[in-house]
Amino acid sequence: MALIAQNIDVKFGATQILHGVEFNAEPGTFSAIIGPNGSGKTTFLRAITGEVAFGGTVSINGLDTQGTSAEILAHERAVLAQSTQLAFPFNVIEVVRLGLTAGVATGNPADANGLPSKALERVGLGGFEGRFYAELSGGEKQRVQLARVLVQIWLPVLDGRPRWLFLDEPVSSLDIGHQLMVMQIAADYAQAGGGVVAVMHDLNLTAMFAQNVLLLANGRCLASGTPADVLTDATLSAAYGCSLSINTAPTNGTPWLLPHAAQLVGHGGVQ
Amino acid sequence: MTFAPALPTQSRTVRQPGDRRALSHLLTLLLVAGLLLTILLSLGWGAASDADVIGALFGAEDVSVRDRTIVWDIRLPRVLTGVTVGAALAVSGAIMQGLFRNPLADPGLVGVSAGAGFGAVVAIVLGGSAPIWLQAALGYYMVPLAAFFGGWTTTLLLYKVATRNGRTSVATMLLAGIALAALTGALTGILVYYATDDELRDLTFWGLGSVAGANWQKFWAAAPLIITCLVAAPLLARSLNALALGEAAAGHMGIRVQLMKRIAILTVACSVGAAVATTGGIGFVGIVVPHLLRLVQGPDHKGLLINSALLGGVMLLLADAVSRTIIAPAEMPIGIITAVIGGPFFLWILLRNRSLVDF
Ligand SMILES: Nc1ncnc2c1ncn2[C@@H]1O[C@H](COP(=O)(O)OP(=O)(O)O)[C@@H](O)[C@H]1O
Ligand SMILES: [Mg+2]
Repeated sequence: MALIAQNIDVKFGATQILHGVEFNAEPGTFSAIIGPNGSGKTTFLRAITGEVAFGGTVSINGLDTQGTSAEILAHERAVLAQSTQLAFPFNVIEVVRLGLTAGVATGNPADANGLPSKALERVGLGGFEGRFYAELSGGEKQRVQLARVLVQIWLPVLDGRPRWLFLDEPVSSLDIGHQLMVMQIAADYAQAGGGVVAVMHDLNLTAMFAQNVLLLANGRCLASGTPADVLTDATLSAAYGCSLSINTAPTNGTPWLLPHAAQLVGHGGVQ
Repeated sequence: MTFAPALPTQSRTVRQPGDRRALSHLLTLLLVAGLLLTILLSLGWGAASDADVIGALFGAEDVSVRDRTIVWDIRLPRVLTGVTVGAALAVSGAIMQGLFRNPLADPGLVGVSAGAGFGAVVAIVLGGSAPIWLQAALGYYMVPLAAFFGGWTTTLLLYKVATRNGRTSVATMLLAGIALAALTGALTGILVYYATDDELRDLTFWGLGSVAGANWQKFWAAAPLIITCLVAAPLLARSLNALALGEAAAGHMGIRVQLMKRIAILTVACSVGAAVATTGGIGFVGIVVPHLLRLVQGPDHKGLLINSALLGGVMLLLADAVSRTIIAPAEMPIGIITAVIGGPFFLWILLRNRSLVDF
């Protein structure tokens, strides 16, 4: 019962985007995929969720994703995309209810009716049920989509099988309070036995929440392992092409990053 | 003096009814009642009293032969044709809009009806030179089947042209529709040269759309196809709802997207083909009906597809009533009535959705 991605290649036309990326994740953990813009994070997530054709193999809980039907996969994992376009004027609760498309596997089908409202409450949008989705702010929309995704696999473990939450930059359009709220939801999901794999932009949040980090650069795996292994001055500076240093927060010991502004001066920005 | 605490965001929430499912069910009941009433009124309109109509329908003894003939042989096939065709057009409009993820898709506007019309014309003009065994095997189904293949081919072509990576460009869709309609129109025109006088009379229907030529024979040729589609359509509701979030999200939620798209296209082609074979191209029903319903009950396809069928039937009967009375004793083709009402309505939707088209 794990997520195993072996030797993942993705080509768009003649351009090869991913080159033999290897990645494993265990249930009960939060894994972060990091890397600069265009390094292939979204493409990698789309490969392991079966959205794009790829070379190599991906297995989730022992199921080879390329040979498993959409219905079955929908009960094993849910996916939050980086952005979602909605056609037609659905209201918020109707959008969240779409998470029940594959049916509920909560054990008790009677729970299904209350689930969407519960999920909205969980993402801090209680009372938004009747609002039109199109009229929400970007951050509110992203949290409605998270609620929809949570509804699909509400129980982190079902019949002894862990379930997987794939998130592409789940906090990038949120304010700091809601960033922590969403990260905490993901962390709780992992804590309860589910697996979480998230593409992350914010390295400080990654350091705070992840137990497992994959660093991509130019479509290749540059480093992977525990945050302590991957989040080092040298590795990050090389990957992101800037100078930074890792410090430790005096209060609780979590690592935090300090970018070096001197580097910008060196680029000729300030005299 | 104290500062008033900042208002939490929720307090400025505009409350709208969160659950529109009950509304949709209520509307279904109202529409069923409305449809039955419209059917009843259409059967007797200007010819027999409602009491006589009911008497004739249920085989009462004291109904005159004239009334019985009017109701059973003239009005009933026409009314039932109107109801099934209206339902078919409205439902295929709703399915196409869900499939293209766009409220402006309509079988009449994007060339599907034109393609189906071309198929029907081919069958009418060239059907007589088909092998005898084929003619015998197909019988009255030849025209609806040919219309179905015409509509199917056009829908597939349209989808291929207008959709890329699961996203449909409205501009491309409408333009491709114009091109396809022009092409099939030209091919139809060529065939008309080869038509005999009898065939020409049949062909005039395709241009304008009319239920005036309805009879039991034509009704039974189209009804099985249309009714199959109407029964199948609500099964697509779950998939069409999921598709509103895009193909990728629908797939992640457990929908077999490629399969459902094929079924949706087949359903549209089948019902539009059968409808066009019976009455010719009647435009705008497919765009007006689902749009009005979405305004009232929301876009959930579960209620939308069922209520579209009902409202489509009502609308076509009303348009038929207008077409029979407006220049009585002559009849105006029903396609003109729906175009006069539907054209401005379409422009209104276009204005409201301008952001969808501006790119
Ligand atoms: N559908 C596509 N067709 C062609 N190239 C693509 C496509 N999607 C992404 N790319 C390219 O692949 C690279 C990786 O993109 P992506 O995975 O989205 O990066 P990110 O790490 O920022 O999420 C980029 O160079 C991007 O331009
Ligand atoms: Mg990305």
